[in-house]
Amino acid sequence: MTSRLLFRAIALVALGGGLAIAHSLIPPKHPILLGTPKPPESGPFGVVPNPVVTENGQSRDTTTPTTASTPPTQAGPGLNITTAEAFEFFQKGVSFVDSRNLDEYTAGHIENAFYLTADQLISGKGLAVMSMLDPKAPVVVYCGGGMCDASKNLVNYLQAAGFTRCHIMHDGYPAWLASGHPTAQGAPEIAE
Amino acid sequence: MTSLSSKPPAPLGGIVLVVRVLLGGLFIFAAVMKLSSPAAFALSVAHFKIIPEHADHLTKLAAYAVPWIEAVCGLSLVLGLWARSAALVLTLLLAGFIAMIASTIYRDLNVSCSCFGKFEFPCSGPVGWCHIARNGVLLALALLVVWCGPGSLAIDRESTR
Repeated sequence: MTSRLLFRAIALVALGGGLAIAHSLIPPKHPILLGTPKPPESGPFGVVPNPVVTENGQSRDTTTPTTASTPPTQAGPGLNITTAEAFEFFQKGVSFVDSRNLDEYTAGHIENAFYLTADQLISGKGLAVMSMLDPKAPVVVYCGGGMCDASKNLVNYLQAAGFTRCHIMHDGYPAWLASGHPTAQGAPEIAE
Repeated sequence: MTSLSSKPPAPLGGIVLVVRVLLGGLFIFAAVMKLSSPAAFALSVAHFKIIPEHADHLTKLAAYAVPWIEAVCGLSLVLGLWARSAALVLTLLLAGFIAMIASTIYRDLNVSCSCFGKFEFPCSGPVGWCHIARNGVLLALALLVVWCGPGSLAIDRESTR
């Protein structure tokens, strides 16, 4: 009786495993991207839009390349950057992306940071935020720091979408907050 | 093994039927939700940090194998075909889930469950004691089927009549 019970249990697991292997051979709609992201390509900082409305009401774009004084170098910051390096990016107008959960973002995030997660991209959301980012410009992604993987996962999917200059603020939002750098609170303007 | 008799007392047979169908249906639902987005479930599995980072292929395997085993065992429970064996497999799976969740609590990880895909009930937010309690209840129900057999209206019962 017991041996038959166990044999059938093993057979059910084997059937499930066989179906799983067969299913895994079908290319998924969204690929499973795990592991460490590729290092970012070096290059100039992106262009920070800076529209100014003149006295006569006309819009004048004073956009300037933020790299005017910093020519591209081959040895730029690596994939993982410190909070201090992230703050340098912040001062140069680089886009920041918060990859934590929505509640954490709402409670507090880096000033002007976008909200985007790997789960959103997998489920076909987050395209509005993606359209706001320049794939060729640096993007700093952060999560809760420590053993948090959300940044790494998001960067994997951003790289697959053509973003070549992603950085991860390794120590995450807690370190940024502890450093006294600019933060904001509230729900994201673009949540999906 | 008289304690593993497949013929529970008549009133218990109806209760086991309800438990078996509800449990099976729940696991089929969980499997469908996970299989609708293997990538999202794979990320969730990776977040638990049970499988080493250099063994991503095992994470991908788990992302497909766990829901398919849930689906097969869930269907088996609903039909009452090899129900006791299916309940045994689900018992082991649930015990594994409980151990994984306890491990994340101990390591203070902030991990989402993805147990039912985008749905979260009755627990929400990062995995915690609520998830352990929920899985504990499901484990007790699965053990009931292991112990009592398939109950009423089961293919197992019809085929042995």
